[in-house]
Amino acid sequence: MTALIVLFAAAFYIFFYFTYGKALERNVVRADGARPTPAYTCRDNCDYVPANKFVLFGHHFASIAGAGPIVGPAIAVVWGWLPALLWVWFGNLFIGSIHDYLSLMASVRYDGKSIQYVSGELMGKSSKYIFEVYIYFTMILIVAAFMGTYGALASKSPEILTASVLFMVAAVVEGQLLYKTKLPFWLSSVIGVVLTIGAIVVGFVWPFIKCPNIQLLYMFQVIYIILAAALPVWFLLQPRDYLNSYILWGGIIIATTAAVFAFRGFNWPAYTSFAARVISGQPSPFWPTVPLVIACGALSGFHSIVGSGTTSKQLDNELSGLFVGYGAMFMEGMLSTIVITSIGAFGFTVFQGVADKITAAGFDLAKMQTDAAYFGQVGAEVINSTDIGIGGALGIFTKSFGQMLNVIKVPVKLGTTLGGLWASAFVLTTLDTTNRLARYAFQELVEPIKKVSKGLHAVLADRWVASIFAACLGWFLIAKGGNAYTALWAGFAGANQLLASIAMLTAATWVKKVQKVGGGMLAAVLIPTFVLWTTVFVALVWFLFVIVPVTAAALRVILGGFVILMLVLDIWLMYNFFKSWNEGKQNKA
Amino acid sequence: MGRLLDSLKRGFRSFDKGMREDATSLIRKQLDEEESVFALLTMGAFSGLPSPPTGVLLRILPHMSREISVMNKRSAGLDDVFSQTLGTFDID
Repeated sequence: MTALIVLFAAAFYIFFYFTYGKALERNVVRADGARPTPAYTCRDNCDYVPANKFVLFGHHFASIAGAGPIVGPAIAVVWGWLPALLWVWFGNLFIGSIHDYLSLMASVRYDGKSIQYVSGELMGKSSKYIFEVYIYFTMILIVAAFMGTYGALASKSPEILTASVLFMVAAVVEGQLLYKTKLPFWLSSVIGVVLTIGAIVVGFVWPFIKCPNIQLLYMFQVIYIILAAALPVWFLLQPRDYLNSYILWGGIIIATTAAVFAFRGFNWPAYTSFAARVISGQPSPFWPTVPLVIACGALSGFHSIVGSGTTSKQLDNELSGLFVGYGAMFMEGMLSTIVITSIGAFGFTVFQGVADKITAAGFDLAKMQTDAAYFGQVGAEVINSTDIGIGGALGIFTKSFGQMLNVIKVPVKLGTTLGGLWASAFVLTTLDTTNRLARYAFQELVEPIKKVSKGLHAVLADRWVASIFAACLGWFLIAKGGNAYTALWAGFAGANQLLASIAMLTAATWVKKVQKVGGGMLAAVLIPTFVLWTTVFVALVWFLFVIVPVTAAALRVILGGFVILMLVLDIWLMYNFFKSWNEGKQNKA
Repeated sequence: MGRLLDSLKRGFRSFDKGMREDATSLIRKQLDEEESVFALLTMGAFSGLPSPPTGVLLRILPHMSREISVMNKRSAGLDDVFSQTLGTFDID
């Protein structure tokens, strides 16, 4: 079954790449290999520089594949592995990949400008500002949700905590080797990879860093992200991202090999219930709430920003756009497929390992296996229970991953530590880069205050104030929210999907007004745009009325306020969209 | 067999190039900043800075066409730097 799913997914993606993808390239984007890209027309050998399409693919994929495609599917499997897999495949095919590809190509046609800029051009300047407000809120929620997921995992697993702390040390050493010594690149890389492997092995053999107190872990994370955001990028961020890319590719290769050779049936229920208790222990209807759970594996608004921020400036040829923008999104779908496969095949093996704790916590493991509806009601609670100690969504993934690697004779604990480092390295990377970016976004958002009060602006825009504000707000949300990371994750994913719907609205306007595409191909863009907008809007309304009231009192006001503001801005944006549909500017592109 | 070896070599070269790119993409931003400082030092007279003296600027002007064109484009895109920054950092 594992091999079947992975091979089928690969065939599915390859088939649609060459059919649907090529049709989009031909009939919607009308990619022309002879038309020079911004990498040539605006070349400055720094930001604008043509890159080999395979190199750009790797770089783009490494930028878009973080912890998101792992955590979301690992939460969604409580609906059963089949609905999660179907949303990853079809969401990716009909929405996510179109979103990524069109954002990239619209940006290419606008001299590599960002998708916010394009939305401002096509749908009015307020659309650009709305985009930026969303980005800021999304980042605050990322800080909170990722702190929660990492805290849940690391507090229960000293192996992973030790490995991830040692990995940071390895990254600092790698930074010194790369930039402060004259060692050849290959030798620095070999030493970096050996140190990374060393971090995993030490974590596995001698897990000497233990911190069962989750609140203390949150505090350490806050201190870490404030400091990391203030350090020069060569010191920690760049070398750690570089080592991360080895973990990413290594993890994908090892996991695919193990999944193909596991020949294991799925012991996880295929389908549990339409309204399984997924988010905050509340019955969560699959539609519309699935995009609040699975974000990046199927669709992510951040991809449009990455694609239009850096990738579009380096695309060497319009015909490479499909491979880079569309193909990388398919690759991310493959990554989520592997996550679901490992949990589907080995998730119950993990439960059997803690059978006594599950029974002691008052759950019936035998019934969980035989009664899918019962599993839908208690599955998330079992995964997130601190008494049982699986370690939340990341915990069930890393432990299932460890079991899957055991098929190719890797000891379970070592495999679990590798999976844990894979996930936690991305979570920590995302945490501190997000905090750094939230600082920039905050400084940009408070710019209008300068006209009113220069003194207040100077205080708010101070880099330490802006950085501490974002980190502490995230900390407050997760610490006061009673460790309810699934609620915060849903809030983050909702904001992220709204970002995606803005990008899709922008892309649809571009396709209709600039590309003058009509008929079926316009529908191929418009239908997913409206399906996405409606789904996410309804999901956020559901979130506001069902989830926000059951969160901790301190969280209610902030989270509720975020959601209401997002909904209002979303309606405003739709108004901008319809207003510009028939009468907006025609752009040179 | 030869063709297979060639493709493997090409694949390895692409991988190596990609990894080098991964190892340096962020500090390329530093080059950006250094270029801006260089432009300010050498073309400051255009924006009213008394350095370098106008005579010196006029003498180096013929050699500065690339810098002028790059700075022109960058200043035109200054209200659109956030997403580039976000794209430079890996976030997802």
